[in-house]
Amino acid sequence: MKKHLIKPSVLVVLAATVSIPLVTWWSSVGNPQAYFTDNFPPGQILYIFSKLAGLVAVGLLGLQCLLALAKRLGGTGVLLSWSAKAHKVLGVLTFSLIVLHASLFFAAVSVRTEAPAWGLLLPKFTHGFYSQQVSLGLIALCLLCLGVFAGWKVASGSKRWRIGHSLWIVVLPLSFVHALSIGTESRFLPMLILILGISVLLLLAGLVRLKEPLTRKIKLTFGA
Amino acid sequence: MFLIFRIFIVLLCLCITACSKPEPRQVFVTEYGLGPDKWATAWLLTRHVNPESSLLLADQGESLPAGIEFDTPESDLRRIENQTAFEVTQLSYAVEDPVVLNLVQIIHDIEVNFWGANKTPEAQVIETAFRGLQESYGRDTVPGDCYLKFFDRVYSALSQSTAEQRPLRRDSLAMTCDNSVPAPEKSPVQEMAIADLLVQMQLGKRVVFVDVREEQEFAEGHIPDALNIPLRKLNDEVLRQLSDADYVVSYCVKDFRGFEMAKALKRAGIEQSVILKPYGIKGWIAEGLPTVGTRAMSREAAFQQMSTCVSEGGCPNSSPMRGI
Repeated sequence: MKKHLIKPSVLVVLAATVSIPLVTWWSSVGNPQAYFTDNFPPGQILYIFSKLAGLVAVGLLGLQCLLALAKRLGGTGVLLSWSAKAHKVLGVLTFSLIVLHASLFFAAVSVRTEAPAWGLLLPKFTHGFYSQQVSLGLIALCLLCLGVFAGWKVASGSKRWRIGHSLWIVVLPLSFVHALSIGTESRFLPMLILILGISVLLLLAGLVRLKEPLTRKIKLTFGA
Repeated sequence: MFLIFRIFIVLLCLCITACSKPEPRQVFVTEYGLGPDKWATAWLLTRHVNPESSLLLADQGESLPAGIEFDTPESDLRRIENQTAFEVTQLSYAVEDPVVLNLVQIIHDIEVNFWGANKTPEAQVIETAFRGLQESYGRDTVPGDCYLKFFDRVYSALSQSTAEQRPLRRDSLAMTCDNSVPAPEKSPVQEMAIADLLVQMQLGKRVVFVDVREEQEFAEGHIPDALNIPLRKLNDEVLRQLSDADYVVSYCVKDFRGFEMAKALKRAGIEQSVILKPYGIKGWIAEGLPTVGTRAMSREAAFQQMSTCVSEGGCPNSSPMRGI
């Protein structure tokens, strides 16, 4: 039997996770061709592609975590499991999109204000809601960099970096809060369903994952 | 005898011809530039010093045509230390018109005294209108005639405000350049100078501000009386609400989101959809205009300041664009 890199069931979920942000972005921005031909405010084109990268990335980040967790569940979770190679490919793609999102936003603000927006690179929690939420995104990005580095070390055989790769547990909620609080299109209904859907599935998968060792421990303790 | 008479007639004809030959028309020449001092000087020379003269312009870096140079490094009629070219010209030709003398101080305020407090209240109004002209017609493409026409308008508005003993109003300088082609407007959304918007409000136009940021950002500080409508909440009901406004101004922090909303409104049929220039609530605050919210002013204080800014066509603590 031919072994697929990605199972058809995973492919369907992946297609939905990419297409929902794309359709949402297109319906909000319209045909992006106009941004190349017309005289729009400086940096606007960078901003809209930063949005696109962010929208696709937030879905893929959730999916990546969900698929990684599903692999360890067994039963129905196997439907969503996939190979380590696919995990790496999607991980690199998601990380690249997040870096692209941040870089394009930094460039857009710099072009608009006619000065490098160094202020965006420092977390600020006393400058109002918007700055706080941008700072959450920045912190999530820094932790993600650590997590990706740890993942690369784990893949290279260094098991002690596993704890570092577990930073996704912090990165994911921070990213979701960042997206839902100041992301314009993240609260469009399809995106909201996607993000909340992934969140609920992750929560359930997490609970099932936690239940297993707990049940085992109870059995061992009470000899059942 | 007849020969002498003929010679006399010929000489007389030659003399008449020579005497009646018109004086060559005086020509003033300079490089094209963007500063108010240059154009005020061009206006002074061609309107007061010699109204029969003509003005020739050369592109920057190109050699100047023959004529009397002004506002060039080699000319006598140029800025010297703390004296503007306009002032040097006024002194050189001893123009004693009282409005021109007032304009000397105004141009000095704009071009020389930009770090100090203005000595003339009209300086800010005139500078804002001058920059507005450049924004409307393209910064580098305003024709020389248009600048001359602008200073004609300044002269008449100053004369009138002095006669009526009232402050110079920004709307009294509003003008169009008939012979010039406005800069091509390729953008789907017009950028409106805040000063122009204040003039429209002063004229009684209904200006609706749409704050497209999230609820928490709006609560911290927003333009007085703004509506809080993020892009996802744009629907038919909102469009109906906005349809009878003279201007619908969408804004956010730096107008990334504001522009997208303004574009969406325009697409939905709100033709009068615009954004601010300078961009967003940051630009609004930089112009010295008030905001209401938990991290801004109280509603009453903001409305009071807003009313002052609207009636005066600008705010006292604003920082107008300087230099070219």
